[in-house]
Amino acid sequence: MTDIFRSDPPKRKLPVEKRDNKVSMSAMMTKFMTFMTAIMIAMAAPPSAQAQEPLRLTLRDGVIEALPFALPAFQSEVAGSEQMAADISRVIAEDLNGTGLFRQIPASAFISTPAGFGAPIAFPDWRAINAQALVTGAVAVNGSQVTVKFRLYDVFSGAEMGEGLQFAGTTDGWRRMAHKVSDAVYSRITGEAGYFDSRVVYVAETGPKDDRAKRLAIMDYDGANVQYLTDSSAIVLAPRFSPTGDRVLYTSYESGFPRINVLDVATVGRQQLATADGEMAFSPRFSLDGRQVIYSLANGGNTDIYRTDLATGQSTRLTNTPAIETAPSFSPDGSQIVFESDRSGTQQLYVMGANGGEPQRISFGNGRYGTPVWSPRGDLIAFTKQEAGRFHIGVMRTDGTEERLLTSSFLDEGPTWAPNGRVIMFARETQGADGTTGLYSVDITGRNLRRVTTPQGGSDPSWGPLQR
Amino acid sequence: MSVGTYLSGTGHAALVVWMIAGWGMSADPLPFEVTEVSVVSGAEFAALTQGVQPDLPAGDPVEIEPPVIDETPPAPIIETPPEVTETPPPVPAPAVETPPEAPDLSVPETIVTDTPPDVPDTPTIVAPPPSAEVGSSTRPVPRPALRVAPEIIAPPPPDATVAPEVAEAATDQSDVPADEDVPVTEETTAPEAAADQIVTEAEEPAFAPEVSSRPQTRPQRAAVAETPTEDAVDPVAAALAAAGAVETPTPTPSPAKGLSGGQLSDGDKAGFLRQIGTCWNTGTLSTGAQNTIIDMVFDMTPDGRPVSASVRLDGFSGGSAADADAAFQTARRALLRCSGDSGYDLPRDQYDQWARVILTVDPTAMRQR
Repeated sequence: MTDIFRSDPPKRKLPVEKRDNKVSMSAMMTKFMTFMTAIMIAMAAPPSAQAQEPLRLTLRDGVIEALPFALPAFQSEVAGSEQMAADISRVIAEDLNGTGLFRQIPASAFISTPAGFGAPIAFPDWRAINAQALVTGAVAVNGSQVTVKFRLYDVFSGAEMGEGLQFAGTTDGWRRMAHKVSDAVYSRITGEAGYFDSRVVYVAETGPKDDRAKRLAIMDYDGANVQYLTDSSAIVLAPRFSPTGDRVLYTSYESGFPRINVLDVATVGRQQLATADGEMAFSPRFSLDGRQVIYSLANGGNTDIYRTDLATGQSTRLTNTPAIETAPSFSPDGSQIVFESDRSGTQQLYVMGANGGEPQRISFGNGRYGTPVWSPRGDLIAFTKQEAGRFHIGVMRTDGTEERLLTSSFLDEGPTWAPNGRVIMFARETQGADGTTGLYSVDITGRNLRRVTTPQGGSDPSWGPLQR
Repeated sequence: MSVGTYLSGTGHAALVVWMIAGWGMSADPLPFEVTEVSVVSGAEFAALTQGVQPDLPAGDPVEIEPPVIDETPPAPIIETPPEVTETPPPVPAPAVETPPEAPDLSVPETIVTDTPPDVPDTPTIVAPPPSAEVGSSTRPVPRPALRVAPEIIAPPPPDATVAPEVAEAATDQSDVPADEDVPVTEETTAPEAAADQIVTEAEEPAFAPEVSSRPQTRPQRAAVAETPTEDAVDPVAAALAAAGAVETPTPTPSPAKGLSGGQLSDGDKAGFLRQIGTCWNTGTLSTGAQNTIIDMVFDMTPDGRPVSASVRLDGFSGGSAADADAAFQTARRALLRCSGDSGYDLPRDQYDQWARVILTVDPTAMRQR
């Protein structure tokens, strides 16, 4: 190239150089394309060459339906246990069906039934009727003692889900044992804790709307075993279980003014939080350790949130504004409090620290929000919303996002969480002078709205923890 | 001066004289009424006029324009932080009151045995012969319902009689083209009581029912269109043609679907996923498992059925190990259940393409429905 430049003007040699370069580029391009073709042919080689490469797929679309399960009546291992075995089987089936997540296959569809509790399982017979889970069990009653054992099978994999369990107790507690079996089955299939062996305290209501008698009552989660904690001589409101379920906070109008009482569930003994004359205390709730109470205190027309230590009686004021602040509820870790306030002009939800401080508003939708309750899992806040003349029970994330209304009626209010944070119970009142109150439950997905059967009307439910 | 001038001057002079003399006009004032009044002070006047509504203008009131409402959510109002440590009044120890009544609220104790009950291990069940019994199992048959017509109608015409012998000889069926034996592809439908979306009571316009209804049947989806593979331009040839190094070849059809050596089509993959999805029930997943994405690996038999023992959890994200296990069990159950007796609808001659599958199961989208 140096000689060329030396003998000829560059401008004239340039075309020769370009031509040489073009030839060179064409050859390189040919080699490059040949190389690329070889690579692409190799990539398109017969499948036998890449047989070891697994197929990769992503599944995103499924269905939402109740899981069909089979529950043959539990075996009676001791003579005289037949009725108990039938009753326990029935309660387990009611528990699982009541969740809306499971659907019992009727016994009339069974092709075969296990010969005994330890007998082999003919899985093809259960697959044929599309049973995805199979629960077998046995009951033995010896005097006042009863023993319940069960096994759970995954029919389509032909394997047992976990190991069998056995419960022993008195015959009086047979429903609890049935609930415990249901909790175990529910937990093994869904992967989260159950809520069947739990109780609910609520306000039992009788009489017409304008002269309604109210008293505290406690019942199993499904409305069974109702017992009354107070008489109807004074109006009682807003009972709240302690975290351990041994005490109940409630508001009583026994003195003519609202006062907060602490009731021991076992002895029905009561204590009253001291309140100065002219003050009204209401809407109480226990702290996480059960040693403190947060509540609303109205004094001189202003309502703020206070916290009182039950042992020392020392109180701390957590809010101090001219607005009405009420319905406080602790987060599960005890670090925050959600409450309702009208400081912005309308009733909205706010979150502040457990010791007070600057609250953060979390509800911004239309309508009014109230009675917030923090989920036991800590991920959601349930609330009552009033909008366009109707009431809703809804849930939102703790930062106020993903608000979702679950119910809609003339009057829904007072949500309370199941111990596992999957179900919400609330009170519903029907319209008109003859309107009645009742307790309902709904899954947090908005499905499976059901009425909880109670002897009389009910309101202000508070779901207790799982019993030990 | 003209006569007109004289007449004009005379007339004007007469008018001036008449106005000065005032002939024909009365000087008496007009009659009027006189009323005696009293003087009041400013305070007395204010007292008299207090509470008197001002006169309103006649006619309809002017409409006031509605204020402009800002739809954007207002920013949180920063308010004065409360005094946290206000000195509280000493609260006396609560007095114990006598309970009104003491119902028996003792909860019966229950003893839970951690060890499994003493039962023999479940023996191995020998699989029954291919389900002749299952296929002919005595499923309950609904009784024929009695149907009574409201009016008497004429009896139906008699049934057509069958000739004792065939009038014509049967046609030789050997000439029938073989394409009539092409099996009919079954449409994949979701089982009943399934839904792909949740509609809460609050989202329904009707009044709240006493008991919520079951989810509706999942709507049937249109078949996923397969990616066109035939008559496609060979990308290698196209690249070479663009480079100008070789002649532009005519479009070469790619290997037909189902032939050995071809790639598994998108339609086959979508169909496989759709079949699994009809059994993948996320309704029973815990809220934690609904936020957990898992990878599971399994081997397939040549007849399109997953090898049960090979299904394993390969990894997960977004949840705890318990959540991942729950999500895995649900996906595994769906995989095994929907394979059925005939296996998944996958091209058998491309077995080496799907002999092993890594399936990512993502329920987060279902959680939002």
